Amino acid sequence: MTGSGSRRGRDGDAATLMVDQGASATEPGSQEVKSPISRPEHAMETVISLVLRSGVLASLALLVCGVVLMFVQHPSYVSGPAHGGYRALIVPGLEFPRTVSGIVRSVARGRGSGIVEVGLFVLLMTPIARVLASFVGFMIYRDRRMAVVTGFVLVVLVVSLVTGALA
Amino acid sequence: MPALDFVVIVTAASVVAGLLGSVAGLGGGFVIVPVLTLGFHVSIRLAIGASIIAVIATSSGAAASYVRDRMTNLRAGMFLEVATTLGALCGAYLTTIMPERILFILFGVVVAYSGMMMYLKRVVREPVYATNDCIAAYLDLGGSYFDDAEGRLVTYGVTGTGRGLSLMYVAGMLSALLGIGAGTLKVPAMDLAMHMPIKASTATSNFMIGVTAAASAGVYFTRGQIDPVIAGPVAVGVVAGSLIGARLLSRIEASKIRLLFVVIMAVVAVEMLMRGL
Repeated sequence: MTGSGSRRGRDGDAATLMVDQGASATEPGSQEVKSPISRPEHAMETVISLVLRSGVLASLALLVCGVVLMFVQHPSYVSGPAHGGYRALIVPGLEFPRTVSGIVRSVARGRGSGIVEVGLFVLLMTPIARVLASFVGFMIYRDRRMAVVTGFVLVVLVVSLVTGALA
Repeated sequence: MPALDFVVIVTAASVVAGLLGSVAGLGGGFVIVPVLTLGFHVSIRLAIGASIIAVIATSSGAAASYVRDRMTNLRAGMFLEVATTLGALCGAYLTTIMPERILFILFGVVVAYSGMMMYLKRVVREPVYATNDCIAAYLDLGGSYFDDAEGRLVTYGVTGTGRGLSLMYVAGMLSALLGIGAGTLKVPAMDLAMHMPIKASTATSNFMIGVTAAASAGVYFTRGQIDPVIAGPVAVGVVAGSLIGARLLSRIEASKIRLLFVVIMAVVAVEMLMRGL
């Protein structure tokens, strides 16, 4: 099955989706074919993977430090079951700060529980940062349609973070 | 049991979960929630919160390499994420009103289904090239990747965007409700409904899972359903396990691991169903 493949113009000219199965990107005189190199969003992928990796590593470092600090600050956690052992810590809605101001205050006082919360928050932000990076990339390459799609996903993510407490 | 022992054991269990997950190609979510709820009597909502954090951690680590490998269809993935994030948002709100027993039953059913899917063989089909899917054309969703095994460039078109969106919405909702990555629903949706080649479907699914999880995690975080004492060790353990698993991947026979995982999932499904019924 052959047909013409044309790269969608940045200003959005209509193009068919048919691609030439046999053609390669290097074949001279061939129709322009979607190869991995010609797609502009692939340039974003290096940025995206860097964002993901560093985000996860940073959050894990914070989590480890935070948990260790928590145990240092609460010796009862290490030894015996004061007030029920671990079960006291897994009761829903416990002492951990959840608002931004609460977390900031907790960290300022050097509380391990605050640092763990920051670590979780950073981890949570990693995919959001990824979507943001994609959005910026699509804007830079003037792909308005995908920018709209990506922007929508970003809005949903922000909504989840902001309105979670309201519902 | 003192808290320290709890953290150590949970971390160890998470390492195993991450290891199995990365070798078998699934997230560890299927193991974490049952271990926490059945083994430690953690409330299922807290277990789901911890598991969804682990899902973000592993998927962000795994997605990075897939994206670099150029197999991920970024456009199709981002497009489908519209549906998954909306579904996840709904699922996250639903978790509070759904009775716990229903969550257990739902978990058991989904695990059973996923185990079955792992067990059954897939039929490899040729990807389609020309499609008359309007949305796919409008957004230029087709893609290509270099297949090392076949030694050639594979190009493909995308179709069935309506079906894909609906399936992704359900996958997102289940991901939020159960704290799993729902890759076992996303891959068939892209592969069967949208005619994406299996390798691109898998890579794109891994890419999408983290964002879907973040949509529900945001709600859980502000609602206090994520307990750092549980989620912290779980996240660290799962990532460590998946890194180890990635190293081991080349040395272990994938089919044996899949069989082991199917057995584990059967056990998990039965246990969770019994807890709910």
